[in-house]
Amino acid sequence: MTNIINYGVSESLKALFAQLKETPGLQGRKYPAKEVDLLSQDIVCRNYGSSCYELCYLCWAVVNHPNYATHPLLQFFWVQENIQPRRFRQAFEKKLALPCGQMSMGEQYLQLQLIDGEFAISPTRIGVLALMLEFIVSIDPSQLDKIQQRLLNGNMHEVKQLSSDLQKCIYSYLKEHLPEASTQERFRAISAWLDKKGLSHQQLTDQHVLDFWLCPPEQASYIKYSTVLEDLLYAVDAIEVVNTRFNQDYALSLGSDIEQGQVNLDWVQNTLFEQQQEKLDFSWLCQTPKFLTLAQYQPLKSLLPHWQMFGKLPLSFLRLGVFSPWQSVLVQAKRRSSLAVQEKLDTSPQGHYQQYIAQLKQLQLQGTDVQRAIAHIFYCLKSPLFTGIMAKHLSASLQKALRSWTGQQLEETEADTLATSGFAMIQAWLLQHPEAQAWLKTAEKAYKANNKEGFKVLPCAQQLDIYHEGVQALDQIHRILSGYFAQLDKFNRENVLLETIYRSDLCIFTNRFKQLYGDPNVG
Amino acid sequence: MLDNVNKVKEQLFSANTLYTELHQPSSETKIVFNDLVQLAKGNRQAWTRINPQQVMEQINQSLLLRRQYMSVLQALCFAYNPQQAAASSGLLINSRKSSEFELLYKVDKNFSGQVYVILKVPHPSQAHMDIGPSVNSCSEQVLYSVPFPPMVEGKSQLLMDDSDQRFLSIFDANFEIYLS
Repeated sequence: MTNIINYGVSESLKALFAQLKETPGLQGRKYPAKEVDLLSQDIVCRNYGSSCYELCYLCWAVVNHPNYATHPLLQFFWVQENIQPRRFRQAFEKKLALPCGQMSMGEQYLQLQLIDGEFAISPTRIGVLALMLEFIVSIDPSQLDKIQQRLLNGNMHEVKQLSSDLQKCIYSYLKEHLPEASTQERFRAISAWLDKKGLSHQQLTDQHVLDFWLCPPEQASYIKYSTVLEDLLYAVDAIEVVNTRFNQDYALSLGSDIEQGQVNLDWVQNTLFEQQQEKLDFSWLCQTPKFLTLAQYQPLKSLLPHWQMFGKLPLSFLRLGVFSPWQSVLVQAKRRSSLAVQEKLDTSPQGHYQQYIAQLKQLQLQGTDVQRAIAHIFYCLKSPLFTGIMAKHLSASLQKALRSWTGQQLEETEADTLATSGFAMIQAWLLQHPEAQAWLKTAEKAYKANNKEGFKVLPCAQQLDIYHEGVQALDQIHRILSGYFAQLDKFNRENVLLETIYRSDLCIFTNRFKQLYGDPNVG
Repeated sequence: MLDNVNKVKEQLFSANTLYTELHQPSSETKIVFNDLVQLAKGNRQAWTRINPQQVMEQINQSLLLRRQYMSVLQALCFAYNPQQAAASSGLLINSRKSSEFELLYKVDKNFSGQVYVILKVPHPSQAHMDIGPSVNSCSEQVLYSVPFPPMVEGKSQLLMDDSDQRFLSIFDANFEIYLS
């Protein structure tokens, strides 16, 4: 049996992206996590050509700018950190006419006029381009000097050539750190298995997932339950997307590419990451401000991206939540000794299905507490946004009263007055409603009990946007989990009790784990 | 055509699985170029996010990173003091002096094994006074970075153990000094 599972992303590349999110700047983290995620999307889709091209023009502008006579790239990107749109605009505000070309900052773009052509860069692109440069010099430090030397007084031809060389540099690094061969093999194995079983993507059930794990196709040594479920879901997703959208937009717009056997990378990336807004990644909630701890987010991490499948595969996600951590423990034990494996096999997983569901419900409550703490922050900083959070927790009659009062104020009060006295008006309303005042006290208590980063001291008003985004994300997680609980309740009513299923699953998983880890030559 | 359709499916599957894998916790730690720059700049605020000792350990374990760090230091340092050519290998010199800064040490009379390392900068930068300078001592094999307290009237001092490799390197003639 060929083992094709363990040749995925290198530890080094994973660590590099983790550090890109952490590395410090003039204020806090240098690069927003969301921009690092965008770069990682370019990388996994191998769609970095246009960013490299754009980056080379940006570097041309920096290298030839008279303000950066020595070590221009180091000064611009690392010392001065001109990597936010405003700082970028300021850095290029002066119109320049140089022997090798001109540069001028317009309303929308930095216009570059080289001797043999022109190019425009939007200030909104600066963050992603700076990250791309950080990525390139982190994987090949010699590139920094090379870029400077080649672009000084360079023309468009040189820019294009450099862009092509940078792409080669990334390609060669990814060949070692992000090999695709194994993932392609995995897809082919699943695809062939689905064909053999005569299953369409819509017919996949919990039982199929379990069967696949218990008896995987010959050509792929699938061992981890989490990998099986994830791969099946991604494979089914890929098949469904191509089957439904392919004729609509891909073939229509890219007929010539497909005839030449080329895959349009923009389409792949757009399909995966931009059109599928439902592909939820909330790992940024664990950064600053720390809305959730990593331990709290961990159970959600593998669940949230697949929320649309909760209704279809309710049991598979329960199995993932309960048996997958047990399998990880066994893998660790296997590295120590056969005795350690036996000990872990004799200890059932921590908690059965009902307990796992209770744990997720507890997470929902913790999320609500964080929202309360944020409401207190809004209130202290005199932002009316706290009413949005508060309203959800008031009695139905008071919610209605608040809604009608807000509507009336918006209608009767002029915008200028609302902006200046809006908060005072809300305070006056609060004075008349003890229930709302009592809720605000619970919000204050939640804030005081929260000792995580971003909640120890009140932020400044300019930082409130991220808290607002946090509230919305926690709302979304709350809704998704509630939907999942509803699916499980329905399942519990229609089928045998979850407790019975758990007992049967425990036998199945224990036997399979014994096969996998009990034998000293396997695993 | 069918082959190409399958190729697109494969591509979607690959990108999706690799993206998920890429964001899994890693068993390694890695530094990016910006970490070197922050350390070379002596940016103390950054130390809540990176551990300067750990970064320096990683730098010292890799020839490539050492070269990279040296080149950043050369580009960004406030002042430089070369190897002391006349001295013998392994011998401590009493002081280092250049037009931009002076480094000397005094033995603590009350506590044996303790030395006061004194740094004088006639024209310090604002950052030297607000945050404090860093002394980077560098040889072919190993690099050290020593943060000093903020300067007062052009002077800063640090109490060190006289067996501390960082102290020994500052006054080892075979080391170069970059002040940042």
